[in-house]
Amino acid sequence: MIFFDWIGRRCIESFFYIIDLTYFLLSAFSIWRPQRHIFNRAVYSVFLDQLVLHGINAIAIISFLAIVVGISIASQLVFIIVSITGAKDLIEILARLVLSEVGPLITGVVLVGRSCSGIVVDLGNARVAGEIKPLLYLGVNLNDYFVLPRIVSMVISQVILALYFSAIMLLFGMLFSVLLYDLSAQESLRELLKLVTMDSFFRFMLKNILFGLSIGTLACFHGLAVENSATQVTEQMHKAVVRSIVFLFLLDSYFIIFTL
Amino acid sequence: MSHSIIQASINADQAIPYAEGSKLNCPALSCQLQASELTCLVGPDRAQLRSYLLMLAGISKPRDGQVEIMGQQLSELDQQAWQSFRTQIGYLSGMSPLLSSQHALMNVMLPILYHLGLSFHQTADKARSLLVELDCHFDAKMFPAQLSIFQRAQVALARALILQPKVLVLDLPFNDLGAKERCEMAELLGKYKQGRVMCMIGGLQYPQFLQKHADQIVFISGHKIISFAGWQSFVESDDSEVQRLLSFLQKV
Repeated sequence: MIFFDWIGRRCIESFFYIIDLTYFLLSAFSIWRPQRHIFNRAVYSVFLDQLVLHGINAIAIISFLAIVVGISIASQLVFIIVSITGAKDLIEILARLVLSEVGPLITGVVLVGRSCSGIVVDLGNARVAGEIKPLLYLGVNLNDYFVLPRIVSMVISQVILALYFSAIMLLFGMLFSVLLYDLSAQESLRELLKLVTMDSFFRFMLKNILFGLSIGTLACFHGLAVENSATQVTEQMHKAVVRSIVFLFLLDSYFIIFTL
Repeated sequence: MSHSIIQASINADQAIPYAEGSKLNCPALSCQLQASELTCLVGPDRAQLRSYLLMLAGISKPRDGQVEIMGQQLSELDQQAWQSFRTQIGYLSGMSPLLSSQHALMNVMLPILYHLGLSFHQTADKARSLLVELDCHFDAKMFPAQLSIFQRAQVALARALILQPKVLVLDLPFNDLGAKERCEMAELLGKYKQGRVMCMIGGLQYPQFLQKHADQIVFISGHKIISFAGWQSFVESDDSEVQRLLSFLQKV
């Protein structure tokens, strides 16, 4: 009985958590009204800072991971596929796996580790130090200045980094298979480009936009949930990181179910 | 509505604030704050004083009664009007720091960039000249953590003044400052009193400032509010609670 109580309570908590999160996201975006510029100059400067921090600064680690994962996954995959089907479906399987699964997921996990935790600590510390209140008193909107630039920069970073990651990983995976199995590099590349249809590209973009949106929203939500104690910063950071990863896999499962 | 033709003033009529963090009861406040005058709220409970200050600054709406700031009824403002209304009211907090992720110059530029949308170049020029006016002789590209407490206070004052507000609200402006720095801060604040409504709490941290500049001192306790026309009448008051506060101040 206690177990069912616990399950019920967790379900209700999760339901309200999702409602809070959705409300938070909608109220953040509600600041964009038709008569208003999307970003004013102060917000634009924060947006650029965030884009550099979460997007451009992550290129090095994403490149390294793309090469390493490209080679390691390709070597395993090539071995398995060749032993089952021969080399004929190799590129297709590699492309499907990388574009629809590995690329967005690994980029998402890197962004959760690097940027989600960074945003929570940044906002949480600003909250504890009382840096936010005087700005509110000067008429600066919290959602406009603190939340929206972070969410939008996270979405853009996720989309571009996932594209970049997938391209590098596919390229290295393909080169590796070409080296191992004496395939024609030109032919493999042509075959690969044929596989990239508008439909698969749209699905890829949508998935990454949702990943970026969920990571950014969770990071800001938990960062601003800090009230006045420094210990809450780490507590909220743990929550944000774990829940972001859970959300990534839930979204990924959703795509698998509806796109297979 | 143009704010330029309206005389800067704050009128409170039987106004009771939402007292957050204070155990004391909040009596109704009726007072008038005029341009070029400094009003200081004093009393035994800082949280209670802050709730009155936030109400007079238009930050929180009154629980009861009316507060009118520059001809605008506070209770009638919607969210958007309230936000643009804030550009007319400078807020300086000695307790709350600057934005640590931005350098001093950007902290000063922020209200203009946000509200007026001037170019970065114009805004930076304006911010730099204000910093010079406030005797800030340090590199404006330094981050708040690299500045001394007084330098941070100067930057915070510049941020509060950059939009040339008609009302300046001072929340513990002498907090954490040394004796010499208090004197310098008092001089700066005195310079910007002209033409503005000034309202503050924490004046008793530096009574010399109140002695020189306060035009009205409002004593607020759990069950009464007494207004005094300046420092002299405040110290000469025979009210027992005022005397208790002053004797406590002398001991400190």
